[in-house]
Amino acid sequence: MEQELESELIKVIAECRQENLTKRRTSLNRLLMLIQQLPGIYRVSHQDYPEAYNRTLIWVCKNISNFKATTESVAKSLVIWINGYLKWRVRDLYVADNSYDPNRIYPNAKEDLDLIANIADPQISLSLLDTQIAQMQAEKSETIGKAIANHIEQDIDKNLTETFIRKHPQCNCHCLALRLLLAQPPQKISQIARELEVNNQTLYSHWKQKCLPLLQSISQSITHETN
Amino acid sequence: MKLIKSLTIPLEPQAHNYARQFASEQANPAKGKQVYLNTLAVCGVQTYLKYIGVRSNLADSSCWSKSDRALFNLADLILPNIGRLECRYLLLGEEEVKIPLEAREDRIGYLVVQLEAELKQVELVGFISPKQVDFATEAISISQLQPVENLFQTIEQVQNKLDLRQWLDNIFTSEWQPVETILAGRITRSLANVDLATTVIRGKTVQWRSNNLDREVILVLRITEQSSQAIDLCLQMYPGGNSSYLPAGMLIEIIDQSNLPCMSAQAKDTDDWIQLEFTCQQGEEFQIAMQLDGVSLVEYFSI
Repeated sequence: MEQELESELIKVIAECRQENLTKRRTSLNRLLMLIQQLPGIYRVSHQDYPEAYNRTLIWVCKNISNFKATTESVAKSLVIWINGYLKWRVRDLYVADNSYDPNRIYPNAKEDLDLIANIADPQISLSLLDTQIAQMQAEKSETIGKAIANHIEQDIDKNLTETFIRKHPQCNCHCLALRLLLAQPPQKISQIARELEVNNQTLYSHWKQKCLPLLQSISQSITHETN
Repeated sequence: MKLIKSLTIPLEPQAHNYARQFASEQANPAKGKQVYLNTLAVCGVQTYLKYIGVRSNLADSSCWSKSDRALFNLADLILPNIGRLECRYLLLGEEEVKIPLEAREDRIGYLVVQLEAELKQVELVGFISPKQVDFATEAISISQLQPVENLFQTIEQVQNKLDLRQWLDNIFTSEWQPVETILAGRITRSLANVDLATTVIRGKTVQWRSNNLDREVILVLRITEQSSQAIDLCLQMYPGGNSSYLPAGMLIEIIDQSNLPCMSAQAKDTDDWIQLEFTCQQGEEFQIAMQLDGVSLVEYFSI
């Protein structure tokens, strides 16, 4: 495998230098697959290590054309070259007032992450996710999701119910939102169309052109009110 | 031991922070879990695109909007000047990628990632072209996934889309030749007697290989400026090379900017041309998709 890795690296690194952007990206994709198999890439147990590692791979892809093998083995030279950058990025993690990524995007320019976002929890996993999310939601008295779902379910002003396909009042946005958005899992368009005796494409067009804008406007106004 | 042919991307703690916050806003745990995993998929793909040097705009993507993610099952990522990429996740053991109704249009493609039990990383699994998805597509089997690299070809195609308004200013790319040159010696249909002040006709040779045969057709596009807002288009297809007839079964489709096929024509055994006529408004985009024997080629245009 060592020899296969070595010859594959020589080939792929050369291909990463080509001018054609699509071909270069394809070669970079291949290079990244090979890098993750290289023995000896520097690792630490710091919880933010992925950030240092990802930043390093961005640098590697940008600068691979400057890479020169410094030992007989391209694989070993590449590890030395990558680790040379990665160790500095890891060192950054231990700087106390590290503002690591000034360009980090927050969920919305107007709303910073709330407190819950700042509690690091490395213990999360797929099997515990349902319980943990249920707990987080229980800590909030009213979530935006509940407010939107309640509004749709009740449809007090009948806006959703009264927006229907001509001659098919039963095929209205209220009924469709309940079945296509709130039902878990959502029902299929074909199943609803059959039940309501409407053509599939007609139902989909109605959903897209009439119901979606209406639902988005409801959702936006509730979000706006709660902010 | 073989070289591994997939790529994993470590998820940064910040991805979990976002996911936690977004999940806590939802109506119930099931919806919260959907939002949590969608957020991880989007963050993983965004990191991957940063590696490769593809710009993305997470802040303006619908999944980053509080009101949209509460309503819809979305994991979109805007690629500026390119389009919207959907990031769908698979869990271990799942054999098909579910495509939510709200993500079946207006996508340049779908990048599929697998999430492992610890949720520490995503693995890139494959790519789904928008051509594999229509409004009735509930899911795509993992056996139908394309290689991840096909995303880069899609980006290239979209970026190379041809602005047909330039033709009216006599600006042409070299592949689109005057019709007298490209169809020299052939019988053409409906192309004579046009007002050259408002009409431009150009043709292009399209070549590909299917069933071990080299194939060639000639696409001819006639555009006529109706007004500053609208352009009439006439698309014709002729046999290329030495063929007298179009390949039987050759399908040509016009796909609108919502990725929906809006008209099509299919060549029969002895057709020596086929034609489609339509009108586009200023600012509209469309694709000409050609299909034969499972091979599909797409040309991108804007008006």
